[in-house]
Amino acid sequence: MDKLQTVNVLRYDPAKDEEPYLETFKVPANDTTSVQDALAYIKDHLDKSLSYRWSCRMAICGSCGVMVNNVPKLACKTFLRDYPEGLTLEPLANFAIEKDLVVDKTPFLERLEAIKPYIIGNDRKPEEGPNLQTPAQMAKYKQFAGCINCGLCYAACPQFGLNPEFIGPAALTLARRYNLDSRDHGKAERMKLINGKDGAWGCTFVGYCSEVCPKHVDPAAAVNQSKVESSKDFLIAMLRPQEA
Amino acid sequence: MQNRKPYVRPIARTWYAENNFFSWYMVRELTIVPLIIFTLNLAAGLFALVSGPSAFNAWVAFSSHPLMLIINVLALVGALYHAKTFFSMMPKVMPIKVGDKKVSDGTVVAVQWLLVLVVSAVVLALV
Repeated sequence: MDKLQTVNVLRYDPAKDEEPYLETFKVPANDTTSVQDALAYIKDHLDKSLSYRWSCRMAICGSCGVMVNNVPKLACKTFLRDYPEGLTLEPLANFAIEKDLVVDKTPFLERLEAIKPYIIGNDRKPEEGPNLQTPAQMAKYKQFAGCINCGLCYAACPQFGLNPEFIGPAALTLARRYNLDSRDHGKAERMKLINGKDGAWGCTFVGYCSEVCPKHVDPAAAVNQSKVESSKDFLIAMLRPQEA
Repeated sequence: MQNRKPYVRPIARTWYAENNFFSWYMVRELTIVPLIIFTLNLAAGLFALVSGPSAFNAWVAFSSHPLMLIINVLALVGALYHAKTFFSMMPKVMPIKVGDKKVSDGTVVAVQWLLVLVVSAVVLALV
């Protein structure tokens, strides 16, 4: 039995609006209605001009991040049944709004690119066969490899909001993930970014990133492990004889 | 693309009040204030001790002022709260392995509190 539920959506049309405003919709919902279903209903039946991102509907593509009652969530993994009082949907915090629920993720993608999230300096050739890892070697980074680049952690990070230069949770986590990978040799390159004030040290361990991460990657742990690593780097550099 | 006009939402000065998680983070950061006062007062006490009995008695009188007592209680509560947050992040930031197995988060947290108890007991036994 579907009942009508209130869904407030922050609307913004760059062609017409000076600033965003809330619009209220009534959406039929039952126990299986996700926020994404609700958005699709609005677009199909109430207002076809509504813009939002989505793709996989199963929490793996990372496209559908929105603020649900001020908390960053994946629209596909959030259900109206958990909000009997109604809910307010806004675009991910800390990103500029392009239109309605669509944000400009460029700052995040630039950071991701900057930390080189791929294996560096491994000159193995295909003829040499697969690059084997022991379960222990894989266990070191596996959790941090679960990131789907949804950007919820950036919307949850007040440091990223207040300091646009901060590399931020997901990118620093991916840097840590590759630094921990036994097949990788790019640590020295990545540490240059991590050691800076906008690297790991830009984090003040608010910890909300780990709270909202839909894949339980625990970015706060990765970032703060990098602080330990960065401190080691600093100490070693201090103790090493200066080059003439 | 002529219609592109990205809207940047302003961040309110009171951003930390809008979310419980952020409020507790701010409380954690604020625990430093009573702790600084406590530490400065303790240092002043050491100087007073070296300066002679009258200086030390004056310091004792100052330290027994109700306001100082309240600050001391706040410093203790603050230190314990800060310790709680620090201890629970410890196993995540520095995962400890014994042999091939990772020591569970709960064990690491419990060992840290045990250390606090042991050190406190030793200090209390000394005074």
